[in-house]
Amino acid sequence: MNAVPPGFIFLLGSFFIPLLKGKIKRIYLLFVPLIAFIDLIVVGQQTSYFFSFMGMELILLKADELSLFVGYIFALIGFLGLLYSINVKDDRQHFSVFWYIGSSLCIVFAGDFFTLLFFWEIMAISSTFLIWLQGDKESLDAGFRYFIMHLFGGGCLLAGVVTNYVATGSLQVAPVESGIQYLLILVGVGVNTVFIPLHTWLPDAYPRATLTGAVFMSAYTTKAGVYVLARTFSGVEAVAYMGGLMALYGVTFALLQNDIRRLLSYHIISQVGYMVAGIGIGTSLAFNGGIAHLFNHIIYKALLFMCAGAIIYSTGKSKLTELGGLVKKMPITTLAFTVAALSISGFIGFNGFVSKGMVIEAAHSKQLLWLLLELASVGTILSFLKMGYYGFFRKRGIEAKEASLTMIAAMVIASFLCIFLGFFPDLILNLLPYESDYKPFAVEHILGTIQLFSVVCIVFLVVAQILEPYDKPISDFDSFYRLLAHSFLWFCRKPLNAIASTLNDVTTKAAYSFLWFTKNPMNGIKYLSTRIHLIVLELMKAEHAIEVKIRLEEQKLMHMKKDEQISIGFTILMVVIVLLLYLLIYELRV
Amino acid sequence: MEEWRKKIIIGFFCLMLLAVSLETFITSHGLGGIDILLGIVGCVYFLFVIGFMKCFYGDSR
Repeated sequence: MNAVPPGFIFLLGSFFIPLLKGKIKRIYLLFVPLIAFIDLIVVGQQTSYFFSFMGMELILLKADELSLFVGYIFALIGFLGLLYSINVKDDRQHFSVFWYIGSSLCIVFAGDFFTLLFFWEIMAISSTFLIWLQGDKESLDAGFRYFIMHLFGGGCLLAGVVTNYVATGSLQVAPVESGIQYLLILVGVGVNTVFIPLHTWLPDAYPRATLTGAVFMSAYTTKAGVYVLARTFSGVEAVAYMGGLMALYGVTFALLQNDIRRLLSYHIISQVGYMVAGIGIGTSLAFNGGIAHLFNHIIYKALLFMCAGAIIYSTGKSKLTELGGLVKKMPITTLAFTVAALSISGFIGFNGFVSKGMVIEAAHSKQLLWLLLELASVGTILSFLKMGYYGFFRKRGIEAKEASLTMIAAMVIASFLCIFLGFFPDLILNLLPYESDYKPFAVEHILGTIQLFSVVCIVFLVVAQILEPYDKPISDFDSFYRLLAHSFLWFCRKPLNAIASTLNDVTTKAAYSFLWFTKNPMNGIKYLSTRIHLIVLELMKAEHAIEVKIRLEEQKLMHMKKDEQISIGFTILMVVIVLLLYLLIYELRV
Repeated sequence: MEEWRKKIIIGFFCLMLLAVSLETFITSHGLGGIDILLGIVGCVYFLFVIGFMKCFYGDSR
């Protein structure tokens, strides 16, 4: 059946948002993702919507097992996110969200690199608005930094795609052949997939996005990157180790954060690391694990951002040092957070347990990678014990109340999905691209998880003091980038400006001299020769230098007199000579 | 240390021992407990990093 590309439902649907009001608009906001989800089910595996552009054959809809799998979760989280943000009055936010979801879905179903790149840029622009719409100066600045990084990534991707097209004549979204295009596309995708050190935009921008915008941002940008990485760089060992590094790096920095949304942002880097590692290892188990983790991570990470949004909405505070005691004031949010924290930590019976287990199991063949991923698991447990204890469970009298009913409804549904998919993982395992006989509830896996959780909990209880929130900004690679940017600006303002002004002085002086000379070329030649004569005499300390000096002054005065100027005919003759010389040189060259 | 904290620690300790025993006797791994070792190594690493950062940036308390 020739169904509509799912992304287009959101893109076209966005234009009706400003026309609707009240309840009808709210129903419409939930209706569109439902239609998109039904469309996804109807689409099935097919390739359609071909069109030609500048001699290239473009494909708007290429649905296979992988794209459908990612498409399902994109549409599902679109529904949950819109339910969470249904009471937002600002139409601009809904409009941006629709374009953000729509472009992400279009990336997933793009059949060629050109279409992918087009929607890649739309995704970057629409998500930038979700940061800017927060409306304060910090968000404006962070939005610009986010946009610059994505322009850089998009530029690399464009250069890579063009080079690849020139080299192979193919625009297919498939593994890239080695060469410069390989590196360019890897860096372009790496910006979205938060490769270290291209990750700085994420913890910088997500905490400054709108409360509801951050929920969507946690789901789409990085996962679209992971999807493209799965299409193009599966089985690349360097990518696998990059994943391991991301997992440990992200969680290490997460442990040092005080702002809850910044903490969660660093956890995105860490969790995306597991996906990247799975894709990089490239075996059927690892690839399935990476993609399953993408699916599960979108649910629990959106849930965590929903909880963070509810806390900030209710208390106006976002720092762990200022929070505490929320378990009594916001019990449902606390419960939702606990479910999400257990899911991301990979506890038994929650969705993260299955997919994270698959990646770690697949990494057994690479000892260092396995160690990096296991250490990152320890850090994740520690980090969420810290966030849970200092944010929710420690005794502190803070004014707060539960968020609105629709926000809670979205959190409850997401929590239910975390548990449901944790107990019935086959529901997603059966949809994965490769067949595998992985047993998620193997006794060794369960016992190992219990041991890991027990020891980390004991350590946390003993040394909770050391993990107390820390209210000082911690430098990341962005400090280095800022230093580079400041150095560049200094170079432009000082040395480059000085060189420019010197060049300006020299050329102006030369122009004036030329002008002076052309007023009376004959006298000018006389004047110059007399001047040289005078310099030589002065050097030799000759006695008649004074006479020459007087003559020079006379010539200078004569040059200023109008009646002594040469006729215009002489100037025209000079111009003709120059043109003839040019013609001669041109003819000789030809 | 508060009483509740001690009780939870003892509870987790017993759970951990039970899990190691089961892993050792039920599975074909031999002696279990590799995850405990990993947990300890991981915690030491993270506590070291936090301690280092607090020394480097200064404790905010």
